Amino acid sequence: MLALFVARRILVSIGILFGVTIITFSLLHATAGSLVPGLDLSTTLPEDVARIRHNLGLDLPLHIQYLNWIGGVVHGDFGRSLIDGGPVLEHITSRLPDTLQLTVTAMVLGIVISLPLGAIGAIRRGSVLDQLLTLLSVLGVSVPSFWLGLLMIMLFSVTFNSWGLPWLPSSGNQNAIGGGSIEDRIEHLIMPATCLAFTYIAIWSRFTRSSMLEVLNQDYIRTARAKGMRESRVILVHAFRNAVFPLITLVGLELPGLVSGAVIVEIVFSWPGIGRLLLERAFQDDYTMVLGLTTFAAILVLAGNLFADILYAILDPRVRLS
Amino acid sequence: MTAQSAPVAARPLGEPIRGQGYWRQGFARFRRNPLGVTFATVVLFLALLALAAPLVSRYVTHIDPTQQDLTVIFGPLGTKGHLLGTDELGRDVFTRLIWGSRVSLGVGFLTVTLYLLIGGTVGLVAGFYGGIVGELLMRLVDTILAIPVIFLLILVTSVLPIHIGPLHIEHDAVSISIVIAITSWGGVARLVRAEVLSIKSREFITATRSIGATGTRIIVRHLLPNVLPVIIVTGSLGLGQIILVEAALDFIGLGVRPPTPTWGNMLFNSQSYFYHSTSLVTLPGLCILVAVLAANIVGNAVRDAFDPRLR
Amino acid sequence: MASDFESKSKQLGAAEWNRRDFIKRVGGGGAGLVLGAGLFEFLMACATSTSQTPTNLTPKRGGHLVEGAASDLGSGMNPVVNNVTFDAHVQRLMFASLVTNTANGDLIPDLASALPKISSDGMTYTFTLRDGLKWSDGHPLTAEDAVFTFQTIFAPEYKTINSPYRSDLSSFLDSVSAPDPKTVVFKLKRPQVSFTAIYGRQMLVPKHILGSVSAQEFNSGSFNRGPSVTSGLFKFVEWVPGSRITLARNDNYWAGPTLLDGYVYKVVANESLKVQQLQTGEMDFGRITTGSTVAAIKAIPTVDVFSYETANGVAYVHQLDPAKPISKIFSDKQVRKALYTALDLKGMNQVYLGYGKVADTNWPYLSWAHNPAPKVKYTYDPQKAGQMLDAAGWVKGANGVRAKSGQEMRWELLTSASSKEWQNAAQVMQQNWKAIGVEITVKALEFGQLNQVTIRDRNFEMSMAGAWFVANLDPDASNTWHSKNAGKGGGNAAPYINPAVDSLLDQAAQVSDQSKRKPLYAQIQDILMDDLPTPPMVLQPGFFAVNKRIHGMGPNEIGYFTASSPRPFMNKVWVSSGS
Repeated sequence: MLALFVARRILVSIGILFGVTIITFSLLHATAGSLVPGLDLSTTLPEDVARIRHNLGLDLPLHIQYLNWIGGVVHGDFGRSLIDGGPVLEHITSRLPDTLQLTVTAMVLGIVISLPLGAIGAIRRGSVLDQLLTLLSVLGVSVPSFWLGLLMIMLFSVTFNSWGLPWLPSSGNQNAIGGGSIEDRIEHLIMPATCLAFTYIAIWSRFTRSSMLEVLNQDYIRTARAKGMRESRVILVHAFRNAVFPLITLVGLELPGLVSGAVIVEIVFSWPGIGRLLLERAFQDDYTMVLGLTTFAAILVLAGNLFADILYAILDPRVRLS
Repeated sequence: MTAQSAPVAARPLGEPIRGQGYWRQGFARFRRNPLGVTFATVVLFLALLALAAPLVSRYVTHIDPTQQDLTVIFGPLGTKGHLLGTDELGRDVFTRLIWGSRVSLGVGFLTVTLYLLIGGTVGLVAGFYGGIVGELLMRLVDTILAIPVIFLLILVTSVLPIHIGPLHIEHDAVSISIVIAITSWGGVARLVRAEVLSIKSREFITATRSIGATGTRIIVRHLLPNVLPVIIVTGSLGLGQIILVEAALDFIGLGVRPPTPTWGNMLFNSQSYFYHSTSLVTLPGLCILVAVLAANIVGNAVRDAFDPRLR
Repeated sequence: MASDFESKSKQLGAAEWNRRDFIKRVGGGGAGLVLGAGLFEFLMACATSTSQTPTNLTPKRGGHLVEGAASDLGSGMNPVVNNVTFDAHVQRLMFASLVTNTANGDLIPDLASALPKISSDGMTYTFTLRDGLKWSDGHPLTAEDAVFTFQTIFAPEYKTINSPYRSDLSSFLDSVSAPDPKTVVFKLKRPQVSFTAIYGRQMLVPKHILGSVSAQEFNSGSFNRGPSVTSGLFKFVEWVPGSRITLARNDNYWAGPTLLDGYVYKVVANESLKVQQLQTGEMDFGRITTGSTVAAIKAIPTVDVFSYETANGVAYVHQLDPAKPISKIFSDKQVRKALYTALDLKGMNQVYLGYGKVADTNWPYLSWAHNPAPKVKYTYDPQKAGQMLDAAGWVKGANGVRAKSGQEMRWELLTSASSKEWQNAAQVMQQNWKAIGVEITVKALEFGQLNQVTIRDRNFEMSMAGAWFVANLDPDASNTWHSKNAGKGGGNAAPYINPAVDSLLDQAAQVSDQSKRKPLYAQIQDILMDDLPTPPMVLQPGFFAVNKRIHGMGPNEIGYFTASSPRPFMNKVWVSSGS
């Protein structure tokens, strides 16, 4: 029965989530040593370090600390940052939109550019253009995104500015003062989004090409041509439409990447998203934040998988019985 | 094509033919792929270069990768004695790039080998034995796969160094290989288990069991050869990706750290100096690009030649 | 990655006053920390700059100053519970204290109307506040706020407040009280000469906001992430973690509102991005750490670069413990002098592109206790050095290395992996000594490790770690050269045992009259330059770059802009164009 299936899957997911939290928690706290994050240890006496550690509850036995924390998580409280005391969930939800702006824009850019590129490759199959596109595609997945980002900054932020051309800002998502307008945000978004979209375009354009090729070989396309339909209409109305669906599925598989896919790009462009939040706080030993971020990401991944599983189960009864 | 050394029972329907013929055929197919062969040579060349790095230092450039010379910092390309220039401490870029290949390729191959070993073993065991063991192993895989890879990598590398008994995991090449391998074996395990499940259901296995072969024997003699092609293909496709991941980790300061020169941490340094020298930024990145490109093309060629699922 | 402390103190220049003093009091307990984050940076009115700002423009109101900083807040903005250096800079712009200091290191009254009256026995300090003090929300600022602030640090009922200075303050403070709203009285358990310099500069927190909140709320509540009420130059507007901190002018500041509308800290990841953003105007002001970046900035027509003197630099310590074999080489004073004579310090200054200053004693030129006329001087003379070593019995062997009784002059010099300048200086030492027949190897360790190995474990032959330049607001240096700190973990890492120096250090720490202390410190410097346990080499420069549209950052009659005391300065900073 569907309900049983769903219940079982949910239980398993929750179990996995607990596994994730236990592994992450143990890793962070077991290797922590005697640090108190957020305190400058070189000017603090050991007595004060010990006292503050006690005040923060960091000297409690590990399993007690874990139980306290997990008890909070169940109520939606992911604890507080050890650096600034701010609620972890608040930090995450305040920076998540920035990451989503970046990744969604990159994906949209990816889709918009992949479709025509893939189509051209399929239509002009075997031509020089097609071969060039294929080469660019392989290059695209082989380029390190951080290198690409650096080169873009050197060209568009430094060189263009030296030459008096319109230049693009290299860091952040808006100007330090007076920023926030749509124009300002787009200016800041262009480079990181393009850098991120590069890999997507490389993969998806190839995929579009191969799925279009498959479609173009179908009987109904041949029929349409035989009936005298114009080639352009054949392509646009039939081939294209049917090739898009596989692409959507592929994009769907990328959804977890909405949250975690931009970490490197965020770092290169100092984009204030949650990927960079993780790195910053990992360097500052802010355990609760790192723990919270990992758990949050895991919840999203597991929820996504669960959703997909349930969807399949609804569509395909055989799955429920397995 | 020659039949494999099949058990005495007749060959039932759907038994995969994976004898030596399969491999010979695969290699023949690979050899017929010009791109594959070309870039395989490139990879081989890089590997040789990596191995020969100390010799290059001693006999060709006469410079160590960490040797500083403050009288010639930010030397441009073609500076006397420094073909590709020098960096912010006067270290020779050419020498450092060559030594950097040791890490990139070394970590690449080691990591792939490790995660294939771990993932393959887990997948085989989970697939063959099934039951509670299989379930638990697959849940473990699910747990690891629940955390986005880059998050997991940042998480683990930020708490280094850690010491587990005699094992010291720090920011050096071997440790980073282990860390990346530990975060990457999940996908392989799932793949291998799926393959095992599909093969297991075929009758030749039941036949083999019926004549009394033990679990390990079946796994090693019969399952493994049939699963090996998938494992090899996955590994070859993954090499390029691993090189990129390792370089990215170096770039954010969590991978292999100075003084060991790697292409990634050379970029980490040079990003603070791009006003002084653009070649310090372009060259290491170019090396990464070439290595990953070669690995990807070879990986594709290997898949085209050997992937049983395409036959 | 460079340790947090190292990168903060080096990248951000001016630092908070170092509370190391108490470490000496408690016997060098936690002293693996000699190069504590409180390396105070003094600024001189007469350092070099690349261009003069025109003096015929009149200051006007308006505009923002955007500072590019390499890191974000490391803890928070509540001045009682946080002690990260960078955070303290941000706090100083928002919170005032009883007294503060000028760029030259002089104490001047801030919220108090004058420096405190100190009783003759040195155990009672009385501060009188100015009239009409207000918090940014208009609420009056009274002595009650001072009492409240100090209670949270040392009073037993506030133990759950996470102040890092409880142990120190409660060791000598007996009570703090407010007999009337304008008077604050501190009663000490024993005389503490440095009290005004350290705790007089404690930033105050508002009692009417934080007086009745729980400890949890005080430690990690919203005040820490955004103070709702401030007493200093600026009010808090917004903190976007990882991006920027925005402050706006506080019209209720006692010295009058600043000319600036606001101040913004922007997180800029590395030096070349700083240059890029200075070039495009995305940021106006930034501290530069590498000399090579200076050249790139000088090429930008819209930006000025200033260099200034600091109190930090490169020096080294000999292993003098007789139990260690290498000390056989270093125990002879003539050998130490010879080695020092063989060092080309002017050449070493090239590590800082010539912007640094060759040191002549272990106290920086900026310290009021610096000996202006050192009796013992050295000049670079490798030949003389060779002769001195010959005379001491260290003769060149067949392989070119000097030796005596079978022991060669070879050792390992430890330096910091996090500082390129230190590594480069070590290389210069290696080259200089090679020329006179001494072979050393250089090993670079991560800064934290370097300190641990040198100060805590004493496992070194020669090391560059240690507080060999006295970089504090108070010149007392017992931590570094007093024999009571010679044990493991103490700052006297050589260890250097000299009863004469011990007694001079003790005397100078008891006396509060500067004119009496100064000659004592001069004597100490002469002895140290003669004995050379920890020879000083080059004092490093600081740099900052500022967009030309920002005026008043210096130099002028009170020196340069410094983050640890922006107050006397801010009213002079103004913006001539743009926002």
